[in-house]
Amino acid sequence: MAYSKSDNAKTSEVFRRRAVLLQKIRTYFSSEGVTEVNTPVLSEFGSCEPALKNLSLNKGRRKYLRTSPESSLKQLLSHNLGDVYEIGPVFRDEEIGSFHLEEFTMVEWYRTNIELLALIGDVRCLLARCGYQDTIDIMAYAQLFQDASGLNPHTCDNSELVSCAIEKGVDLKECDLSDRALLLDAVYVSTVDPLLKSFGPVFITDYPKEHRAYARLSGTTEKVALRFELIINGIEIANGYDEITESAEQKDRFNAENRLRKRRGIEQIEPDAAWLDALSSGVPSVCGVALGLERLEMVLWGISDIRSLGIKCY
Amino acid sequence: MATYSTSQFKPGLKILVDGEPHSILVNDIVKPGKGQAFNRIKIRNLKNGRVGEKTLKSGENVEAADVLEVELQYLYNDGSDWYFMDSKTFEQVSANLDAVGDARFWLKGQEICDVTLWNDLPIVVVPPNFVVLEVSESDPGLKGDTASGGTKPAVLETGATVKVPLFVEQGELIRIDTRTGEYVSRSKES
Repeated sequence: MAYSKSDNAKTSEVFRRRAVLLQKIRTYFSSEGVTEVNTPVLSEFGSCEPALKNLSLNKGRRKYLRTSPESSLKQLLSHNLGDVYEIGPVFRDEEIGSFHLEEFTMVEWYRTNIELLALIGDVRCLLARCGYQDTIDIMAYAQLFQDASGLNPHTCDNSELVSCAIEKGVDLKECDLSDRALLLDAVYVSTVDPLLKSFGPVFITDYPKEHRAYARLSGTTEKVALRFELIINGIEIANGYDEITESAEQKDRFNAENRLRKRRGIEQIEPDAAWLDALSSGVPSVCGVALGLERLEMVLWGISDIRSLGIKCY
Repeated sequence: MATYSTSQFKPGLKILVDGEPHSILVNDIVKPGKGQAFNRIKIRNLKNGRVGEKTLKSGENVEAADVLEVELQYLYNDGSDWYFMDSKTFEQVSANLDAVGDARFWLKGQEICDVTLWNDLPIVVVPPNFVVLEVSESDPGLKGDTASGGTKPAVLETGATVKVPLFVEQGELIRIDTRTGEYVSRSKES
C-alpha cells in the first residue's frame, strides 16, 4: 500500500488518541476483573518460534528482547494471580514495513477457565469499547483455504500444495517441498491472503496442526489447533490460543520448533526453562490472546502506514 | 554476480526472474500470523512489458539485473541492426529488431531516444514523444478541404503508414505522436 502523508496522523494527534485508547482498554479490563501487570522486557530466553527473529543484546551474557510477554505472564498464572493483562513493547528483528515494526506495543491477556469461543467474545467486547462497531464473522481456516485453493489443508498431500503454490508463482526450493508448514503458508499467502482484503473482519479459527504454535489440539480423527486470528482489512490484529498447560507438551513444541529451525537452516534457540517450570508447578486451564496496539490503531483511525504511529523514523 | 535480498526489494528495483530482466512494481510483505514471511511482488518484464506476479520466501536472494536507462542518439540502420550513440562518450551500441520494436517506424536519424540497456545491450528503445517526418507517398487531397475531418493513409519517409487529414500532401512535413502513432499537425521544420 502506498504511503501518503495526508492519510496518516500527526504525531501529536497520535499520542493524544493513544492515551485515550489505552484508557479505554484499561477501563475494560478493570471492569472485567483482569489485573494489569508489568513484566521484564529482557529475558534469558529467546523465542523458538521459527517465524520469529529474536533481537538480542550480546554484552556479557546474551539477553533477549522479548517477542511477547507470554513466558512471564504464564509464570504469573502459576502464582494464582487469576486473569492478567499486560500492555508493553515487544521486539521482532527485521520486521519492517507498512504493517510491521521491529518494536511494537502488544496488548496480551489471559482468561482462566474459559473456552476459546468465550475469548473471541472477549475480544469483540474490547474492540467495541475501543469504538470498533463492525460485526466480526467467524470462519474456519479449512473453509477459507478450500474456497481459495480447492485443497483441504488438513488432509491434502504435500505434492498438491506444491503444485498449487508453483501455479500461483511461488518460488520454492528443493528443501521446501517436504516442509508442510511452509507449503501451507505458501498456498495461504498466494490464494487466501489476497482475498482477505476484500473480506469483512473475520476471526479465522481451527488452524492445521502444523500451525498450532502453542495451542491445544482438538478433535479425534482430524486434529485442529484451538487457535484464532483476527483479520481486519486483510491484516492480523490479534492472535489467540487455548493454551498448552502441560509442561511436557510445551517442551515437545519447543523441540519441534527447533527441529524446524534446524531444517530451515536458522539458529536454534534454547527452550525457555522458566516457562516450562511455571507449567510444571501448575497453571489453570487458560485461553490467551495477543493484540497489536498499533495495528488496532490503523483500523480505528484509517492509517495506511504503521510507521507513522510513532516518533521513530524508519 | 550481484544479488538483492528480499529485504532490499522496492519499486523500481531491477531483478532477474527466469533469466529475464524485470522491474519491481509493487512489493508486499505477507506474513501469516504464525507462519513464514513472503514477499509478494508485481513485476514487469523489461523486454516485453508483460506484468506478472511472483512470491518469494522473505530472506531469499535474487540476482540483480544489470539494467541502465540512458539517452542515446539514433544514427542509422544497416538493414538488420539499429545503431545508437552516447553523445558524451561517442560510444556506439547496436540494437536488434526485438529491442527497437515499433520505435523503428519513427526514427530517421539524430533523434534522442530513451534506451534501456541490459548487460550493456539495448533491450528497449523509446523514441521521442513527438517526431517530424516527411510524407513520401499519399493520394492527392481535396483542394480547399481543411475541415471535413476525413482521413487518408500516408506513407512516411521511414516506411510507417499513418492516417492523415485529406489536405496533407506528398512532400509535406508532419508531426506524429509516437505514443499513439497518430498525426498531430503539419510542420514547417523537421
